[in-house]
Amino acid sequence: MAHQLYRNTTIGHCLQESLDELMQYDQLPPALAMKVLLQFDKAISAALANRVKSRLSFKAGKLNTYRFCDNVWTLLLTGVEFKEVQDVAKADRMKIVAMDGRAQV
Amino acid sequence: MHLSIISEFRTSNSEDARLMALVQPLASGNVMTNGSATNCSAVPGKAAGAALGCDTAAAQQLSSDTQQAADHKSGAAAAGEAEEAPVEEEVDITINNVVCSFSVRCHLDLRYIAMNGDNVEYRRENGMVTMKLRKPYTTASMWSSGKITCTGLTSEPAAKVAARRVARYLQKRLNYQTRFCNFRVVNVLGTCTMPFAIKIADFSQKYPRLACYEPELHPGVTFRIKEFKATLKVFSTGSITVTAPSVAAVQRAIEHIFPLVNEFRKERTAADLAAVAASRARRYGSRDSSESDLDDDDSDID
Repeated sequence: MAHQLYRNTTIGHCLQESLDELMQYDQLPPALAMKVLLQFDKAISAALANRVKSRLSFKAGKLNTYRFCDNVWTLLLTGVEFKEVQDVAKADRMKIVAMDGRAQV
Repeated sequence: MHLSIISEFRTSNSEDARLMALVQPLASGNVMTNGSATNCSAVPGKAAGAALGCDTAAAQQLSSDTQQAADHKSGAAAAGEAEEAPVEEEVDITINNVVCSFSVRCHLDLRYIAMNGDNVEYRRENGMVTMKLRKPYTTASMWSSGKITCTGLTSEPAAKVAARRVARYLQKRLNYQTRFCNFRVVNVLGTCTMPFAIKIADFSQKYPRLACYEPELHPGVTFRIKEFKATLKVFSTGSITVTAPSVAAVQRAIEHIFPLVNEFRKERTAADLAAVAASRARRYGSRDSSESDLDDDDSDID
């Protein structure tokens, strides 16, 4: 039972919008839409764990705040630099929402 | 009176609160504290140096106090102190941890604080929210009853400041009707190193009721002073850690134990001196007043 963390991503939102559209045209029962989303949660967790090989490291200027509640870490960083072999990206402010990879919902 | 003078040194700009217990073992075995400007100049460490730099006025006051003290005391003792200058040892007491507790007198919704507060952790198995402050560096544990405990501070005034900061945060950012109540310092942990090693086996045998020495369990002697409600751990390297209900009690406990321990002094070998110097360099070099001193203790068990 993977957590539903990845629904709040670009790909998760696209999926949800597509499912909503299909439900609107009555081409998909809501129960099935729910099942699709659950399958998506499992699939994306497995894919990120097993199929993603690229490594990205980042370093922040400052950790502004941290929060830990319900086993969810929320970190707010400023002055972040992402490095992947060559310098890739910079971000002024970054929010990380992290959950335990081994825990169950 | 002496303690108030010494406290001026303590609350100077150094981050590590350092006390100096200037200790004189007299022939009769009594311990008296005495302030002397000349002695202070020999104190190592940049924290003490900062104290000297800022507080020349206090140093002058200290020397004048010595004169007055010498005058007030009984003639023979004063003559002994002023002229023959017996073995005058000075030990730096470092306050490592001050724990305080207070109440905000209102029920705290821990979940709300955990979701909306900054720098908080809420683990349900502990039933409390942990909030860390950067300045003064402390960890505040809050319970839903409104009781809060602050740990990790280095001095009593810092404890008050930290406690008020936490209460103010709850009031301002999270809109609680807080009242700052029942602030008290619960525990103070101080460490100091004697300039000599100690024969702890003989020391523990002399005070069988006050000292507890189980070398198989712990390498130090646990010495309790009922009068100050202090528990001291005396190690053979000469390091002593004290836990007591206040900073003043820590100081008095060190002063109390000094002559007791002085009796069993054992001069340090070259290896011991090197180890102490290394731990000092580590401590002052890294600006970290945590338990580096205690690392030494396990290495030298007689």
